[in-house]
Amino acid sequence: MKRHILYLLSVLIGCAILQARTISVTGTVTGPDDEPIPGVVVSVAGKKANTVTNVDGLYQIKADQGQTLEFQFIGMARRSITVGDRSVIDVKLEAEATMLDEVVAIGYGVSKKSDLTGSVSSIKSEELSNARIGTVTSALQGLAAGVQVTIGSAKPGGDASVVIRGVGTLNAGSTPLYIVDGVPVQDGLQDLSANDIESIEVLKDASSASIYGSRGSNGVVIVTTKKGNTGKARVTINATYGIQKMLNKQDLMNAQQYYELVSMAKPDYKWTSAELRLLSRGESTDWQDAVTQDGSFQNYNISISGGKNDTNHFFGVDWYDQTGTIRNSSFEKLTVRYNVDSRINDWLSYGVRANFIESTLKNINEESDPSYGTFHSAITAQPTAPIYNEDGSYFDGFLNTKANPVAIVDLLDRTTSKTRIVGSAYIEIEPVKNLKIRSDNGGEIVMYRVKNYEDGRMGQHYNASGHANVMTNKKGYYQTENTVTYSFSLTDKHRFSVMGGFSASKTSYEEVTADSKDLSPILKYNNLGGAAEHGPNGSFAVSSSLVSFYGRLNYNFDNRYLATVTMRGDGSSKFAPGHRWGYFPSLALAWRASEESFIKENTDIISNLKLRLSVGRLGNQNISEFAYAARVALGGSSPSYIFGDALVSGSVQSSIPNPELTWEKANQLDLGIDFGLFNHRISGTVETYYKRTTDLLWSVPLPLESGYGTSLTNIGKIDNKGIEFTLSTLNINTKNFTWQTSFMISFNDNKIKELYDGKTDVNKSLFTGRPIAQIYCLKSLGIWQANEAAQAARYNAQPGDRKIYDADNNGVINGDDRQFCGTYTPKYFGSFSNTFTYKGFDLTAFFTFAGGHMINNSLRASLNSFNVWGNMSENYYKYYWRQDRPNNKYPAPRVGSAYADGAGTDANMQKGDYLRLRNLELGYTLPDQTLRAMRMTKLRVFFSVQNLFTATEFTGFDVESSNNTNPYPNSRSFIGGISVNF
Amino acid sequence: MKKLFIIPALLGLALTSCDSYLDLEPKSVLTPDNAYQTPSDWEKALYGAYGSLQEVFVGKYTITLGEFGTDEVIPFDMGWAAYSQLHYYTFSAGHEFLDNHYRVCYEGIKRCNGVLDMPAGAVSAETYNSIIMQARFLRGVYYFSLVKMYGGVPLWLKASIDKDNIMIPRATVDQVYEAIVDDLKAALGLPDTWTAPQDKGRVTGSAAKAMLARVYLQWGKHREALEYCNMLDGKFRLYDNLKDIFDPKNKNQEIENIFEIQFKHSGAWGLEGSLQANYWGPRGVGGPTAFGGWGGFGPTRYLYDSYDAKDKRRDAYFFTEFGGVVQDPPSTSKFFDSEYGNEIEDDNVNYIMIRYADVLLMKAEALNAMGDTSNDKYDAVNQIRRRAGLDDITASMNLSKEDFAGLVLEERLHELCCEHVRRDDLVRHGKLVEYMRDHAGVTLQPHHVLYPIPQAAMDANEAISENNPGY
Repeated sequence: MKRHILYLLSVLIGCAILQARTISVTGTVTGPDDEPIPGVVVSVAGKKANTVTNVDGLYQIKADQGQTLEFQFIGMARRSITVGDRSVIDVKLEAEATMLDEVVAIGYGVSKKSDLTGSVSSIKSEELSNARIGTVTSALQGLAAGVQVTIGSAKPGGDASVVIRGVGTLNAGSTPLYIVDGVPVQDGLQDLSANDIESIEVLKDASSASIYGSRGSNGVVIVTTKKGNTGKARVTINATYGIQKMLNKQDLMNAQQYYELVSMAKPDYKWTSAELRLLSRGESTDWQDAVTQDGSFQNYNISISGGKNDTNHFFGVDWYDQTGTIRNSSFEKLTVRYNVDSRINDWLSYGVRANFIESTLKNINEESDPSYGTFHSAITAQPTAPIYNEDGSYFDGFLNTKANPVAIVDLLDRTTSKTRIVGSAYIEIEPVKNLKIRSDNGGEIVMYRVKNYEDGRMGQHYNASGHANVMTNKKGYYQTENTVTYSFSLTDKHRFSVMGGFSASKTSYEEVTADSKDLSPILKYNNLGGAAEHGPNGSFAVSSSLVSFYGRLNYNFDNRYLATVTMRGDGSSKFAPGHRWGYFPSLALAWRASEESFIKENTDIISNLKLRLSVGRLGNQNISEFAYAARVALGGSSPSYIFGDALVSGSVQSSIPNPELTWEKANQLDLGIDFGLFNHRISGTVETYYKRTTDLLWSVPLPLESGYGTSLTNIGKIDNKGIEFTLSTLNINTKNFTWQTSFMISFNDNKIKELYDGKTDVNKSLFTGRPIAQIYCLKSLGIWQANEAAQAARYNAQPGDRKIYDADNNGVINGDDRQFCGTYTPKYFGSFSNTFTYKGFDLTAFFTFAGGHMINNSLRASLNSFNVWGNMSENYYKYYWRQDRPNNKYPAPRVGSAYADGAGTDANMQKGDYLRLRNLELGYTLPDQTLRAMRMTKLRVFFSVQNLFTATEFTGFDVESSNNTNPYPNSRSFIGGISVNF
Repeated sequence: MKKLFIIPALLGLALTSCDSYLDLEPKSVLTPDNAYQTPSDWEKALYGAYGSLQEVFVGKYTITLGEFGTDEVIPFDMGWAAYSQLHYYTFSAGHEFLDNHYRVCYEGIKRCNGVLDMPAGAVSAETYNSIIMQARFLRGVYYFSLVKMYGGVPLWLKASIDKDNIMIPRATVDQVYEAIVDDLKAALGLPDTWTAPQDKGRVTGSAAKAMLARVYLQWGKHREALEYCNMLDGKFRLYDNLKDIFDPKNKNQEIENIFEIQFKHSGAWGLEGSLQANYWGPRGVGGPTAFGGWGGFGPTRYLYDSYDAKDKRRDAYFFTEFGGVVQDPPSTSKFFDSEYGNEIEDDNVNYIMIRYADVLLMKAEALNAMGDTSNDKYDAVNQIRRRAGLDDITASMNLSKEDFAGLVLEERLHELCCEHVRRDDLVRHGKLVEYMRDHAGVTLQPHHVLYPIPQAAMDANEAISENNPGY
């Protein structure tokens, strides 16, 4: 890359010195089939002057001698030709060598894509545009095989979870390591602006990830942000606006239906006078409508980049503002980035990456008991309850101490502000050619202010005189990364590159919590000092450190045979002395068969064929600090007591020691084939892997009688095996019309291979030979029917009660009757995308899918069985079991009916398979002639619909939601936007 | 090339400082190395063992376990499957309340064991003995809570954990009772009352005697039960005024109330306040903030109706109306806190674990069971009845042994209702199945006198293969 810039620089400087003559250049542009191509953009490098070839492929442009002409056409490789004496330059364009010679980040360096030996998925910034709402993490969905992205919460600011090649751990966290410009960042990519990103690389196999050693076993996601290019400054402006419509509103009983059912099933139920008044008026409260609205979002982004002399810069500002579909929930974020790279002299350069993010989330109620949650309250609030009393105050006669859902959205204030500063500065010296010594020092500071105000008017669950608390924390992470890289060739054919490095990092975390009651509803959490009651207050601090040495050797023989050896040694403070150091080697080999003469010379079908093999070991140390030690907790409500009417603060030992605790290890084998056919019109990758994780960091359950729930131990084995398939094709490529397709599917098979002490199960929740997320529960067989009364009586049940499979037929339903009922983890997932262009128009349809798994639709427990805590589904009202209308689905409304709500059984499980049209986008790019008149280089307008449809059997709020009890509904978004470059 | 020397220099520097760079100390938790250094540290560990009392006996879930499934209390909130299952006996081993109870009991036992393993020289001999005696009492009552619920349970009597020998099978019921009695007897040496105000609430020798009486009685050992009941005569007396028993202002007076689990209003729920006022409070008055209850459960109509019309306790222990709202069935007023009862789960009400009225009734029960022919058993019951404004029971009424036992059980219902003892009483008298059928209309099976060992405990302990019969 550096070399290119230098070359460019020298050309430009050369031009300036020569002050060359301007001539008029003409010529014909032809394609691989020697047919002329119209519409090819011809420009002078670094100048805004450009032109387009006509129907006959002819162009004419003015240029100085020594300047470079650039020829661009979609699907064709860009060509640059320096203007010499000739005034006629005919050009033949070749089909684009599908990004084969792109440069990709590989951790502590870059590599040409063709030189890669490991499994690296590369994502360009343009591809992130399929998710305009939500975080960069969520935008990764469907863009890389083997990378499973689940949109856990559709709330404003909600982030997605990422699992790369299956979960290989039980307690040490399965989140990949995220590296942004060399700095590992907390909480993934949620704060980044997509517009600042140049590329994202996902390192999936042992060879590519092992350079990150002890943190690599869940895969590594490397983000490289944009930097300026030498030449004229470029300004890019994007503006996007959209509205969101809530999806999957549940059909619930209205007040009259609810009254009828409850009066019949629980005659002693006491209706409040307010409810009776509402009923007598024939009204009904739709609580889902009462707390929701149409959401909206807007995103504005400006970036300025450029470079002069030896300094390049990139400046980006991004404003994201979303109002949720649940009232009073919102998210806004300001991102500012400044990147600068400067070459001081011919052996010294430096650069700075600086990113500042400030965000504010107004959250819904997500307190630990989900039944008080905002949306759970709205779904379960009885439809007979009015929103307001006659005096205008909030009605507060909800069942089971629930709060008035409208009061929650009106009065509850849960605001999380976050400030994040990420940055680094490097200095690089090149004392001799191709020997680079680089020291990159940086880190991040993340500060949260979680502020919470509960107004007493919300209902009896909340303190009548108001309650507020504030938690502030600060995480500081600092690192120094020092590398030496040397590239050399022995002959023309033997090329080597060696890298060695040392790094040290330290993470420190601290938090303070203050809590007060009886305070001003106007000042809320902003003046806790004015409250009448204080406490409990708390504070917490912890730190950890990591020291590492690493090295990598790349060997390239004649561009045909490639080899990479890496090694990393990590020392972590998370383990006891003597068990701190772990070593993570890997080896990768690749054979570029398409470079062999017997292929090159005998066929032109194969344009790329590479076989890859890698083996290696990765680690995981993602556990809490001092987990190896016995810990004695002091204070807190549980070990404290009262003597003489005064508090005494007790202590309790909360864990038992394990001084042998050490790394979790993942050994991985990867086999891959990259191929390109017909001049890369068809290209793809087929890859298979086998990852075995051993010495799991696992909180092994102890008998409950020990008083310790678990003990963290290195034990057990988990296997993940999978196949990933990526295919992209250029189906049609004509003058005006192109059609590109890409398809990705990944299969992962997750199995626990070994537990401990020869156990075949642990707590009946983990089983050898079965996936981690195995579901093991009672099987619901439907409903006991009238003619089965005698059989039902054997189980203390009656017709209309839920019938449970008695596996051992012993007349008792208990834990022995549990069965395997599927898994929560998808067996396969992927995406399917089609892009069409016609002249200036482009149309993209981007689908994502997953399947083979089950979802616990926990809302059904209360919606599809009789309960006097709140509303139920309309279907329950229509179809509950009755002597005169028996069915096999919904139990009769009988108080005390065992298993009626399906808890502990598979009754609320639903298939999670889905196919979703995540993005349908139509864009129009103005033709260059028009743009020139407007002094722009690009102008594109687009309209997009996200989540236009989802095909699934799941009936809850969202098939990807991680919380089905107190969900945030997903939405369909209609988005329009404009993008301008000049 | 000179610049290259920087590299080895840097590396060398790094290597030497690595190991110390990785040596960090916990900042917000202690370790066994620094947690137990002074006598006050050991006191703190003992406080932790006391802390479990609140969770075992007055937790959100455990509060129900002495009362639900009896004729005395009914859950009104039948929509909560956990409630209705306990009432109708349709629960399984997976029931979350049982799971919680089992865990908090063994958490308490762990904390006691940690104290009991204290090295002898750590504190002065006097302090050592005092701490050990208190911890043994606590361990005894935690095991007692377990054995009544589940029958024989694994006995953990040491703090140290041998990871290779961690699966401990269930002991027999008798073995568990023996261990409990051993523990409680070890606490007999504690002072009968703590004189310093800041020690009020600690275990006393009297508490150990009273609990020994209760444990022996439940175990069916009437002679021993009687022996310990008698030891308390003269030290305690009944309050004249029924309302004085439960008034939060009378905490730790040690007049009638022998052992109280301590609570204190703390400004927020989940701290050291109690939740009894809210859980038992009057219903339909707008929730706790209006001094009302959540409405989840309360006394049955059967309980209230079973009082004699002139029984003073009917007025003293119940609200038939509160804040203008008729309580039907009446709610209990035993846990009412006029000062802090309107705050969420943060009242100032101690849980009176055992009081002298209970001791008198136990005494009568034991004497009767032993076939005593003296007037003592009548005297004991009549002390209770006279305070309630009821007529004496006399030998002249020629009550059979069984009748007298039934009468004591009835007297216990009227005196001790809602104090978390009804289920034990019915089980001890062998009346659970009959009374639930006759008074609550709930059919249950004989095996229901024991709850199942929680499923999670079964799953985690390989040495337990069979649950209680019927489960």
